[in-house]
Amino acid sequence: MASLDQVAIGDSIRVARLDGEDPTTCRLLELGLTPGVSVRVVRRAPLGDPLELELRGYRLSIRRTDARRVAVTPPSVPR
Amino acid sequence: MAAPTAPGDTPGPEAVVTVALVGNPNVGKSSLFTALAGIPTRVGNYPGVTVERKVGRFIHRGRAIDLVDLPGVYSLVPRSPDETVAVEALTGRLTGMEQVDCAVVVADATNLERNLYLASQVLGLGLPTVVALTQGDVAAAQGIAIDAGRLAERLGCPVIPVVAPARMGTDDVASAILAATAAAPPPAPRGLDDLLAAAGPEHSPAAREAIARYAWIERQLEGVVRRQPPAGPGFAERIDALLTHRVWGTLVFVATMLAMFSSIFWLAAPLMDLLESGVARLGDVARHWLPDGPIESLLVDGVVAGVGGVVVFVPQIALLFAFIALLEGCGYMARAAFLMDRLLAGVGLSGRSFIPLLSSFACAIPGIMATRTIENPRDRLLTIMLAPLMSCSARLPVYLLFCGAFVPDRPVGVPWLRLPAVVLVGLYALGVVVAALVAWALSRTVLGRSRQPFVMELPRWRWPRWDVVAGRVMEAAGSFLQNAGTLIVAVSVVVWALATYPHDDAAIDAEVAAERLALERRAATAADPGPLSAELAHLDTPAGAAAARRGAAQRQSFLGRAGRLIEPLVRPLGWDWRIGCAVLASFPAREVVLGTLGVIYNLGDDDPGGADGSLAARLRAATWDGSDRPVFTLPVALSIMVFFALCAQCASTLVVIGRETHSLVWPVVSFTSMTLLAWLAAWLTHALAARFLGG
Repeated sequence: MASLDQVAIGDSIRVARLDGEDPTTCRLLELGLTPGVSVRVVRRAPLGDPLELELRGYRLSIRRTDARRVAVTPPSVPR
Repeated sequence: MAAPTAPGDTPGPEAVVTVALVGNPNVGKSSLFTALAGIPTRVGNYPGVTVERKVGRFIHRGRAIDLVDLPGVYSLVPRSPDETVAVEALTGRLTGMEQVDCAVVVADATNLERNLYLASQVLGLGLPTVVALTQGDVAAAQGIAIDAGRLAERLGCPVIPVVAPARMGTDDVASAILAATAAAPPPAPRGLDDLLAAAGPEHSPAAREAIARYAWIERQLEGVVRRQPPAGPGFAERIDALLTHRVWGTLVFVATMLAMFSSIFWLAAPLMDLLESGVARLGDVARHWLPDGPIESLLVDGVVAGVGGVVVFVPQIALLFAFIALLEGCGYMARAAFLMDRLLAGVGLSGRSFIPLLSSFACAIPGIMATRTIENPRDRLLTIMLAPLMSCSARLPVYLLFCGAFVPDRPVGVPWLRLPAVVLVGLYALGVVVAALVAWALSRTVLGRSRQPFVMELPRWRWPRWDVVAGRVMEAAGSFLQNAGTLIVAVSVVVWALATYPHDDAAIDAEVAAERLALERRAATAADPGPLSAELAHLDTPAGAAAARRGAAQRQSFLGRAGRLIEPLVRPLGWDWRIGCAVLASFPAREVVLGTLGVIYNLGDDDPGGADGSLAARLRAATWDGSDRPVFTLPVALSIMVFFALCAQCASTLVVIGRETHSLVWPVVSFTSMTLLAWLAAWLTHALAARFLGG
């Protein structure tokens, strides 16, 4: 399954899974990156990192290493 | 609820209502705190952690309300020190803190969905709760309409829209607090358990909880939030694309940073000069009216000079905070951190540290104060530790004097570039490189890697509020003067006393006479007695005699004795005890070292940077006690400059570190580690330079 750091700029996807109980995973979940939510990758910073995401009506910036934990599916695939 | 006023009905101490302010970072919690309670009555740390605790008391309808500002958190699951403090405070398990009577959840109307995550957890605690809805004006401008009444019905607690900087709705929040404490607490989120059961079993417990809470929030917000597409579709998006563009975004960023930096470096300079000359005039007036003697010296050289050393920082602090408030107010601050994050991630920091560190090249004090914009306490502490390593404007006169006087002015093979300039750039680079090494080392030892991921909300573009900008500037300057100012004045008075006492006129006369004798002997045997005779003639002028007496007095003071005492420590750096003395005396502020060198080498306190280069000439002529060997050689000059690049000889910075971390530990750590680093680097510099350049 693809992960969030691999999504092309401008594409929208749906979060599939986010496993683990570590602080990073928990923080991403609390910020709304929950399985099922739709996320658009808005852009990448000029130096290549971090990413800018749009979800739940707001813009969030996270690093690519953290985005790697988020498994995603195309929005058309129903879950 | 009306305040009881009848004499028999006087409220006891239990009638003070303790209210905790809780919310996500950057939602306007501090603005609401200030609007409700004004300037905090108590600022400190929570026991055992470097998490700021701010308490303020205000009276509403005759009732005293203690407002406690909890750290900004995204969640009540205790994983970071911030979250632990927030949870323990709300559940009454925090030592030294009253049981909370009411929780005020501050929620950002432009981002209600995520903000209600924390609210849903607070509602589960069974405390009387009030939701304060901030940023309503910004939300309205973005086409977001929120039905606060309907949301209040759904949540079972009052929801009060506020515009804190304009004090709109703040009275309603206070009234709602009093009403809520008298009523039954709101119900725990209804239906959350069913949603939890419905979340897919394939997910982890943490994921199931997040899924359930967000599903609950979506249900509460149905029909409460209405979004209209913004009138000019994509306008904000186009600005965003431009400002984060690889080329244009970088250009705008560099221009913005240049404007900010040059304003605190150069725009502040005339204001600082004005303040300094005002303080100097005050000293002259005092000198004129006071009889000569110790009281005059205490007031003029101790107190007035100390106050001057405090107020001189105010223009830089005010300008930097005006910039920060503007950048935060329009939403650029988060974009700047977004652009710079990659650069700082390598040393274990985030993009949030860029502006505080950049500002520290002008002065570490506003830079350290600017770390208030860093949410993560670990990153903030690390940035505070690194800020004094950036070469500030007070080091520049030291660099310029020694580069100009001792580094040979010769080309280095690159057109337009000469050796003194290369050394100057090298000193700036040294601070940065050492800071990167320190960050790298601390991240792997004491502080550990950041366990919190770097997450940052990128707010939408908006117009900054002028009242907020003015408020931030006033608060920063006020808190500096009030909290740090008195201590800085005290330090400079102490150092003045150490450099002035004991004062024994007979011993001073004896030393001046002995020096004269030594000089005469050397002149009699020297091959070229010209310069020595000129020096003797200078001793006979009133200015020369006064300077010689001042120098002798300082060498005999506690400071002079301390300088002799530490001579074994500074010898390996190639210094004589006088340099050690001058370095000790520069503890209140680095640039003081030049004035002290002037006095200690019998120059009097003429302007050390004077155009005639009198200090430079004097230093070149200085010799080791009882010999003709010059003190200041190229290796010694280099070791002094390297020492000043890395040392913590700035009492004001240490005071501000103490005030910002609310602890004595960090200024002590900062001072000892920087002094040690500076000593080692100066020793290495002297050894290498003496080996390869001669000296």
